[in-house]
Amino acid sequence: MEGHATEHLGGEPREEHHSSIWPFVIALAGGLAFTGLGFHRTFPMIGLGFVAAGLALMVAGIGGWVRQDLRGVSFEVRGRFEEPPFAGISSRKLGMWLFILSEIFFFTGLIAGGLALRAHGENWPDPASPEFPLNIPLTAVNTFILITSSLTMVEALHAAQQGKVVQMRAFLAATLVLGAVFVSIQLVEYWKLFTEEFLTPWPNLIKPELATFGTAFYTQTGFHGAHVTGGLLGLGYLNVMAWKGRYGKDNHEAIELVGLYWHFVDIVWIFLFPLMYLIGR
Amino acid sequence: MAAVAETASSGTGEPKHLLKRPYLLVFVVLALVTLFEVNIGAVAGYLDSAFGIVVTSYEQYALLLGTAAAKAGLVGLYYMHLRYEPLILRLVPLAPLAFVVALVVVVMLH
Repeated sequence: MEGHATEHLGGEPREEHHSSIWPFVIALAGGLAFTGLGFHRTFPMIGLGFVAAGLALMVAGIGGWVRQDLRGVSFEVRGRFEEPPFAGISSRKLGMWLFILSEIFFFTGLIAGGLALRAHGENWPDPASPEFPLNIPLTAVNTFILITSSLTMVEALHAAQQGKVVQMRAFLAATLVLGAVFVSIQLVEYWKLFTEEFLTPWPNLIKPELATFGTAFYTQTGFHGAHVTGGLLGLGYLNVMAWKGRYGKDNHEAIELVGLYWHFVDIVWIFLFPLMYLIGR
Repeated sequence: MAAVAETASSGTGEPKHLLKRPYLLVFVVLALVTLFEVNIGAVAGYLDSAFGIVVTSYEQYALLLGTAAAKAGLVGLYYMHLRYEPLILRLVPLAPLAFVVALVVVVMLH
């Protein structure tokens, strides 16, 4: 990889690069947890053990990464590629885009699975019917909230680029609050769907006909909600560091990178909302 | 290296999106289109009763997917600054689109 990431951004002195093991630990944790989910039906105890081990390792991995960062160890690769085909592009930004590319594959598979259930399941509720279990007006409001959070996120980056630190902090805080409200409303909706509409991801005795729709609904919106929650962790980190004075006109790439992820999560919802709430079969 | 100077990343140079700031306008469009999406049934009903134009459920669904794609494009181009990025970076999120289309078509045809 000679020749990449050698040019300094904004005239900043080059920092010594320390690699970090923690992202790999987190990836391993995710792999363990998902393997456990796969095993769960056939070997419940082994599956649950894998899931528990994965979650524990994930907490440890995130904790280790944050601790390493708070100790002041820098593992930032600052700079741009010098050679084609990515000449002039920030290496960290390219990394984030490649991550987003992998996420596009992930959500495409998930949504395609939902379409398969929609096409082949015996029952699929009609959004125009009064019997439709989902709360469309509430989720429409939630959609506005997520779109608004994308606006505040990009305004936070814009404020940072212009050196307006107070505005940057305010917009970052607003994005965090809006994201938290989105997840909270989604949790309230889940609670009501479980307890009042009897919409579960598995067949239940009261409304077994909704099981296929429930599986598709909770899988897709649940994974999206988990991604929003992950984004909230990143936003929490950005807020803390912004108040510590880390970001400004010459150092705001972290805001841009978390922003790219946040906007991507918004885009996923832009498709999920009509697919799950507005489009019938 | 002209494209490099136009990139939206941090660093030297004044990115284009700092000069033109379409964020609020994009937000208004996103909000209005979402409002339309939520009320598409009512809009179809009005078109039918007022002008005799029948928009079937499947046509409404196709329209909804179209508006979702347009909204995603706006977010990608302006909030994720792809409009100001070099071509090679714009291609990264477009790369899996063939996979997306193929998977959806295969699922629907089965």
